[in-house]
Amino acid sequence: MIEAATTTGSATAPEVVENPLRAGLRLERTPAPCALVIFGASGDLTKRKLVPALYALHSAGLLPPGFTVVGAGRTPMSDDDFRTSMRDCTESYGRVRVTDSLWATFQEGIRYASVEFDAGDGFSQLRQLLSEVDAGRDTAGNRVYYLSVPPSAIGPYARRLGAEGMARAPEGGFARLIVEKPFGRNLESARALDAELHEWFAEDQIYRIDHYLGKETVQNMLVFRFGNGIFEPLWNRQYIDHVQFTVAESIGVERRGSFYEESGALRDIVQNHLMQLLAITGMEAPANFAAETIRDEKVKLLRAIRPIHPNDALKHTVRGQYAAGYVDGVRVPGYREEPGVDAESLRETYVALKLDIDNWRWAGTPFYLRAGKRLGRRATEIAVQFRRVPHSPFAGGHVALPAGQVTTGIDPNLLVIRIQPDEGITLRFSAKVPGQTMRIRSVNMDFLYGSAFLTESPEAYERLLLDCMLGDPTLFAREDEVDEAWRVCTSILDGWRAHPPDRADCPNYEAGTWGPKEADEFMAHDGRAWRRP
Amino acid sequence: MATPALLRTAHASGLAAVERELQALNQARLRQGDEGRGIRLSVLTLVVACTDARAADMAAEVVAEISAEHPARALLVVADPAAPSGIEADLSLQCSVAQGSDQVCAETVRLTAGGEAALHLGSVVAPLLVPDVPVQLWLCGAPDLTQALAPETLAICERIILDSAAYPDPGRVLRRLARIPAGPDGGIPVSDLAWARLAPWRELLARAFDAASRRPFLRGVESVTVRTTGPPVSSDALLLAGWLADRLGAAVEVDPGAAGPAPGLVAAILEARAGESRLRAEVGREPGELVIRIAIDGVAERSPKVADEPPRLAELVGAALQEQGQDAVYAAALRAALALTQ
Repeated sequence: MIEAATTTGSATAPEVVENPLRAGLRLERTPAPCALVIFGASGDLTKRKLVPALYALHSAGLLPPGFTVVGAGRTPMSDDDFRTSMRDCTESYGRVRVTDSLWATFQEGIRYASVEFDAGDGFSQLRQLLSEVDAGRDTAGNRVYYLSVPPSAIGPYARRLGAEGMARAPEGGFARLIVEKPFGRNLESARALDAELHEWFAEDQIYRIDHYLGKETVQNMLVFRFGNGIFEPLWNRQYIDHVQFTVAESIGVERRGSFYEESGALRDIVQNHLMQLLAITGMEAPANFAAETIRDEKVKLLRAIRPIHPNDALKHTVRGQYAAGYVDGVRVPGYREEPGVDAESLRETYVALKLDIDNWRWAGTPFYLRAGKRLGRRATEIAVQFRRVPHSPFAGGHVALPAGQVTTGIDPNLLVIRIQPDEGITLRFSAKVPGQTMRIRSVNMDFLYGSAFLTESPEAYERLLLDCMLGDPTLFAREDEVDEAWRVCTSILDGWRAHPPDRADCPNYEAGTWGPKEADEFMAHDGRAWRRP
Repeated sequence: MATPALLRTAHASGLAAVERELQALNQARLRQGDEGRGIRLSVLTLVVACTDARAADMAAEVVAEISAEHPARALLVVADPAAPSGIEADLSLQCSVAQGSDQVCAETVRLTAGGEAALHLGSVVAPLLVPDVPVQLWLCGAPDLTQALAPETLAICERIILDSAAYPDPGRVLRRLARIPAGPDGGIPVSDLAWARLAPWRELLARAFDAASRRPFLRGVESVTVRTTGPPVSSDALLLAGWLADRLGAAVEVDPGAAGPAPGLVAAILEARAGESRLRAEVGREPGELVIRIAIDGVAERSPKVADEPPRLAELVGAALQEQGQDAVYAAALRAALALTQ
């Protein structure tokens, strides 16, 4: 028998705050046991993303013991029926293979409550079920409410949760609210929604989800910029000519026709995803990786975006709508022929815009944003175009372009951060073509995320759900970020409303092309051109 | 992930010939690249000191398995001072296609060093290291520590991976590890696979005190006992005891002689008091599972459990290669474990 005492034990031990046994384990802390209530449990998001993400977390051992997910919806359903349907969708859409033994332990924590929102005691079944869960699974009153409900229902649900006393965190625990986009329809409605949520939930209880921020490559942008010493000195107006942000989809509006009629590309993509990408690309270096530090820097950048007066909206933007065309060799209908869409609709399915950032770093370097449906291919990327060399010393200066054309200039360097698909980074630089003459060609140096790190990246929702349970809001949008993004977008929307597109020019691009010709002219006007992703 | 395909093999006698052959392999790899596939270079050199040819076979299997994820130039060395002097090498280049069309290639050099060369591992591998990338030393099997951890070898490597449980006298191994010289960054980090296998034990014990309501018990720890088979006391039991002693600042009793399904750790029991309340937590093995039983004032609480499947060697080595810096918790546990054995 061996016995020894270490020297650190003492009679007057200080207050134990941290768990000393946690240090060095994979997660600094596991989330406290909690129940995640999904409102809108029969929706697509729950089936395709949320439950598969939770299962992946479970299989990685990242969920706390006793973790319970409660599906809440109008349709009456038994726990077992809900479990079966969740297993089916996890098998169809999940990244992690479903095994019987892992599923068995996961499904112990799956429950279903039917919620009749309009009825007086509509939440009673849910409340009863949650108390059962607290008693049986030690979840201690900790809650995450996920509102996967139509935009107009977000406020009423939050209010109802508050009125039922469910927004109050238990002592030493938490009650958090996850809200999906779109967050409002314009600056005014976003502020009204904030006010409505804040009646019952404090800002630090509200998690506005933008799944782009959960993507590994978006987070990698922070590492790329602030974990490398060689790029940041070039990351400014002096060396960068302009930046292009592209969110291109090859799909149409699918079954979301009636939703899209209400939103359009600016609200659907620009206000949230593109503004977040822009903020991360343009922000100053944060002093640390704390949630508020990073979000403060993002807001500072968003605030520096020069306001576009509604009267100038058409000068700074291009709208487009797709007509029928060919995508992947298949004929696809035009936007107006999609189900749920008005046959005379003028709604934009494409938007391109130019933003100026009025700060020391970016003055004079425009940021171009574009987003569209039914474009040539699916691609999300950030292309940073550097300035050209000031002078070409090579006689003749003939340059062979990759496509075989010959030009007299030297292509500027280009840095492309691809977010999807083929996550990675490409740097374009000039190289001499072997031979007796001085011919210069642009070559690409490629870094493929998937080939440098073969471990599969977690899905964005896995990261975000776990962060929310851990109480880490870094990758969620704060109230003022959303406000600033709406400030820019709302005046464009106001301008557009005052100047609707000419009926003769709508639709103005064929499905499967790279948008309306006006968008190309828009860039040509500035002496620039869109990159083809 | 596809099984790596063997692209080229060669044999060489003497280090100069090995270097020439490595260049030839490199050319072969580059020609592969002409076929339009992304090629990835080695991200590290993995030097493997193997006990014998059998350990080298095992290491070769592990290297092949992890090569797609950790493309490394692997130098597998079987050193035998009693063998005829000289260096013989078998080289191979393996490429695998992973995720889409990207191709990953890794060179494996299997070296047999005899005579004087066997005692100077560092000088044997030095000319074969990939420039600029980290060098990690893996002791596969239980090679002689004095030989494998000679100062000239430690001078070139940035991490040591070994399994303290593989040695017959774990106490001696831990003492040797504690003496690894400290460098400017706090010494050469050690990844002990026996420590890695303790992760589920640590996880369960940590979970028991994650809830704020349980934290007060940590101020009133009254006894901690680690039960193990033996003697000798296994390295995992020593490390777990050291970890608990260090983290809790409590006296820990190591109790050998317990019966267990396999040699090693059997159970860990912690008793604590908070005010009038008493807590008892016991982690132990049950068939296929590791279970923690917690009772407060004699009333059983929920018993979380995790699967008790020992991770495969390739998983453990792969995880060790991804570690960064010294694991401070391990270093402290090691020191405390040594204090327990003295």
